[in-house]
Amino acid sequence: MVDKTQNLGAWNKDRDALERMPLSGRGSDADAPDSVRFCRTVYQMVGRRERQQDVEYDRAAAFVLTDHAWMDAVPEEAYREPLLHTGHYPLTGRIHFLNASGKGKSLEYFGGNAKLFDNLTNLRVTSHPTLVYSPKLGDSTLSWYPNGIGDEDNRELLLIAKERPSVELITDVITRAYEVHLITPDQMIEENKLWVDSSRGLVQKNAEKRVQSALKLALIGAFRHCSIREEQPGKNGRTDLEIVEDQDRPHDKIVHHAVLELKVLRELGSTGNKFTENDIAKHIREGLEQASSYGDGRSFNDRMLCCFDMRPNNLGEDIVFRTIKKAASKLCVHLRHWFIYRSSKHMRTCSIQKKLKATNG
Amino acid sequence: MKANPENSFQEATARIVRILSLLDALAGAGVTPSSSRGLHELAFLANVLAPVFDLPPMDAVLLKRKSGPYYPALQQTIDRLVGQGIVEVLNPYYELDEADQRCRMVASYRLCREVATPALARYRVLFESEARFIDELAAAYSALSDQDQGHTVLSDARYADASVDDNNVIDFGQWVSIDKNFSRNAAMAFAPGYNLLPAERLYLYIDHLQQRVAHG
Repeated sequence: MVDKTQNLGAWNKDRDALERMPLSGRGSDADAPDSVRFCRTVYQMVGRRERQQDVEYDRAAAFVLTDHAWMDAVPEEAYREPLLHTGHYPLTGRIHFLNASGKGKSLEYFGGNAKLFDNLTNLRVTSHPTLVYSPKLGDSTLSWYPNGIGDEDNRELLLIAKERPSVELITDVITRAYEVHLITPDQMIEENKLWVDSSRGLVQKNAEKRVQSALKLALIGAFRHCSIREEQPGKNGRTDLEIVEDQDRPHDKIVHHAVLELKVLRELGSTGNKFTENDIAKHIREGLEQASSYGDGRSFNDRMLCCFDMRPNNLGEDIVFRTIKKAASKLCVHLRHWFIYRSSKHMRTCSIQKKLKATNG
Repeated sequence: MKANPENSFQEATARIVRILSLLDALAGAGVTPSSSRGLHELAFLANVLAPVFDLPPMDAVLLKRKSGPYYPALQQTIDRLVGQGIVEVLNPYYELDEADQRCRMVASYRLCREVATPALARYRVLFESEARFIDELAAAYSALSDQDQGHTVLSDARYADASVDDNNVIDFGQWVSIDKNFSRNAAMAFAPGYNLLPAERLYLYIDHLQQRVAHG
């Protein structure tokens, strides 16, 4: 909680200005990997530039993710534009050597697209992660070369046009993160391990927190124009994850896209303590109530209850949510369910059983 | 009282690490070479804003000078690193500091990468949170123009506070409560009701500092 009596020294008269200062989003993704952060930073920088009246759509630009040592070796003609992130300075016709937070130096190049690529080759940065900006009114793109322009086959196209984080899109992003990082113990990296012992069904005490971290990173990478905020305090409690558009906006103009309440459904705790069916049903209902009240509290467009089921059997979404479906519909809370398998073998067995069941009608 | 040699060694090592990490982080943000004034200013900001990252300041006291923060021990360390070939000095000259009526060496510095890289790599493993803090702070600080760097802290919440006159000691946690760290208090005052990441607070702090400098 903010202490209004705290002495701000020479800034005591600025207290209101500090409290009302619009968030810039810079630093809000500091816990994401450099490549994810770099893509977001450049995406936002280009977005800000394209919102200016004097925007250029003339030539391409390259943004090269540069490490500290390489920055010392940037050509002497490269110059520093401290406020490049504001969108008030031209981006096109330049190669920008930047760190993950979008700071660095820029170098002008002359000629067309071929010259841009020639310059990158001559500067020996063909293996540096690079974004190439192709400006076109209403249709600009960023081509992401995670291994540098030298690896042309490994390229992803990012559209500059904003896409509203709808429930469907959010679900897709979570499903991708689930398939890559959560579905079986083999997929889980050390920090996100949800099992204490998967063979015995023992679940980490802080499994929800670990799911939250994994999903936050996925959402940060997917919704580049939004801030993904966790554990935001409110009068009803703390939200798990929020997707908001708060950059460069006064606090009363923030767009609250979605609030996500995360629940892990477990039969056994980390020490083998058992959770009854009744406990689990209560846990799910509590999640529904939280998603609804947090959503109302800050007028979120969408509210979602996302359950990660770590029980022995996959009962399916219909059965898991049977008792709350009607209430959820009335409260406008979207219910989503993902099943976490105990091993790859467990996943294969379940998949075969599902197939056989479907064939038998 | 006799100084404890073990403590002196640790402090000297900490200063070396701080200089190398500041120069490395500034380079990462495109501020290379870095001016001596900018380095001292960033060293001050690293001290007052460390608690935002739940880190202790390296020095919680300094002498308030009219011309801005200056750490003599840190400058000695820089000079020594230059002598050892770990840091390169560019365009050195002496300038009369009219505010303080004394001469100061003004120069730009950059790391000699081939010598400094192994030490920096080790530092980043051993002091991960500190390295992250310094990187974020340098990135935020790099939003200041070359002209402003080295001159903005005169408007800082703690440095500019009128309760301490020039040529007196500013203490923000050495002998007094941490509540006296007004810079930290101000950084924590942004967006009440929001749980912001510490890095986000640094960017907001430097943005506000920049606004104060711009608007006098």
